[in-house]
Amino acid sequence: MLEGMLIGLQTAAQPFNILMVFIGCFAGTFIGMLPGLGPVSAVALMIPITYGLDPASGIILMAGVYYGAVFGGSTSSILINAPGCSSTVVTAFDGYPMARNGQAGKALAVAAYASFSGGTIGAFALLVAAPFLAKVSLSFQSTDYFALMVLGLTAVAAFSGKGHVTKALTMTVVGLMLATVGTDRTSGVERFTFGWVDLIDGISFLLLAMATFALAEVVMSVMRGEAQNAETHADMNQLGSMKLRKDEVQDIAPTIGRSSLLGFLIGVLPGAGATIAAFLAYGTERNLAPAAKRPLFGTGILRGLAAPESANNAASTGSFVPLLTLGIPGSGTTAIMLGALIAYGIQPGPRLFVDNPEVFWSVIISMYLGNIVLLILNLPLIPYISRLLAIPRPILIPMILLFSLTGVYLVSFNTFDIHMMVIICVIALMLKLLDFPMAPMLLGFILGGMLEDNLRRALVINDGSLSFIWERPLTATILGLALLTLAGPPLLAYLRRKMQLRKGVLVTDGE
Amino acid sequence: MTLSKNRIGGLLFLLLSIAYGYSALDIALFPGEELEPVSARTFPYALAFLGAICSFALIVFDRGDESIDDGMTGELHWQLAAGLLLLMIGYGLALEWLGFLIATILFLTSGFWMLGERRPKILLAVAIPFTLGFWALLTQALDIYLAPGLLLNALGD
Repeated sequence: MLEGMLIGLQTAAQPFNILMVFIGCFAGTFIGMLPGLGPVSAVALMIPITYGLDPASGIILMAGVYYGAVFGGSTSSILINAPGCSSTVVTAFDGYPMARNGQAGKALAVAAYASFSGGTIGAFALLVAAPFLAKVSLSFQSTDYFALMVLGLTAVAAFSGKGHVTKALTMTVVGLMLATVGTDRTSGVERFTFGWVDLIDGISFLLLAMATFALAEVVMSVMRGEAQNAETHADMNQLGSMKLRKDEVQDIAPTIGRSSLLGFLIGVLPGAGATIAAFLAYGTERNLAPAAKRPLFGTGILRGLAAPESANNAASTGSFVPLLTLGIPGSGTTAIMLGALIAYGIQPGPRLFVDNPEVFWSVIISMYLGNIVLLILNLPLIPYISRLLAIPRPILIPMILLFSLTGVYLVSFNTFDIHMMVIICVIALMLKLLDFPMAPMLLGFILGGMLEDNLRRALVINDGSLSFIWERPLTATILGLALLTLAGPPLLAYLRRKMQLRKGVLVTDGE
Repeated sequence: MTLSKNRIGGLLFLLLSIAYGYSALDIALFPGEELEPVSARTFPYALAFLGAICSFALIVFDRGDESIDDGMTGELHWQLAAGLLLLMIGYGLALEWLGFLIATILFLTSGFWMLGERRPKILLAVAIPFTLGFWALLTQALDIYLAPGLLLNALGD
């Protein structure tokens, strides 16, 4: 392991790769700041560039862009309440009220420190967990992979549905259905293409992500009239002080520690990513807070900002664990990286650790470098970069739409994709009006192909019998956990209601 | 039984699941594959079944506490949103026929105009340099080939 770390350090410390970290972080922050464009689009935009680099440098660049974009996304969340990506939606809950109270500078500083701490804790955890998991996962079979993915999907459905688990589950199934469109990977037959040549390769993930998140979000904001409302702007010239008081640091330190660990653990789960980590960390902090402080969440409280920020960065790091060790992407962004790695001829998975130690380790080491770069490069530059957000909405919105459309077009050079995006965007808008969450659909779509592959392999090995579900202890345990995440919340709610009812009966008895 | 968001969504997804399951019947199988335990149809069948169960649950177990108007009240700018969507479709067509430069300039100016920026100077002063810069970045710096429009091609011949 020490030898591997040295190789990684050697690779990551090459001047060219350090330059890549710098460029990646800077470009990522810049793109991530644009509302509607998140890490997924930022990393996707880098794919053509990385083709000219060697694998280690390419993946280092993409990793830099990734956490740069997560950080940039929080900046736009705080300043203009327009999250650059879904993982920074929670950041806006308390960050934006702070900016409106004239504490934008402080909010940005807290976000930067929390991101740094989250990323650092995450990088250390990755350093320990990845090689260990890589060794363990060598013994994983297709049934275990299948179970892991089911767990990832149910976790997403349970946490992102805002109480509407059935709605989230339905969307997950829709995502899985969309994943079956195109040529079947095992037998090579076409499925659900209805004779359309453009559908033979299936629906592109980038297209679906851009249409449901970037386009639909922007059009929705126009539809609700938020875009035309000039008052949603925070005044860029009044960032306020960026300094934190000692008591404020003491206040958020435990939050950062807890949320980073939680974020990392969530990030490791396949399918669950930075978004869920941020939501969970926020929820946990609110539940842990004394009852008197609880209503303050959402009004611009430091803890409410530090929790999601440290969690989403730690989760971004954590999502590299399943990518590097199992070959399963932990988030949409790592799914794109998976594609890029495969294009290099490198198969992420348990063998990566053995076959390409320089890629494996240099990514981990460069993660840490990236966090340092983010802190020293971005924090002082934020007042300048954030001027970008002062662009009036009527100018900014068509540009964001253009970036989303060209982002997809420049990968396929097929104008059919643009029309497809508009169609998907219309469907997404209708679903949004009906309060259906989009994230479960997207994750179902990412994991759909692999889920089917592993299920088929497991079924073939077991001669068509589903007995592997209960015969293999590891599979059974993971699936049990999945069932628990689904059944847990409604069961708790039911028990709570029953308790309250009983209390109510006791009170009336006493009268 | 009132019509709530859950019930509408449930009904839509029930229809989708049925249509999906029905078209799964059309997936081609290799000779003899129907005797295999797993085929290209297995997963779609399972999904259609799961989708139907989920949407059925949405319809049946709806508490009916949220009416269809929740979140839809307040003025929604339908026309503007529809306009933007049409503009994007138009961009797709223009990109193919007129090429990147003209299509992008048209898209941006019309977009700015629709969202309320009416000063012609600003419209052009933003759209043209931005498009040129973006085009230069793509073609010169990143070495990406952008096909000229079909119409321009035809004129050139």
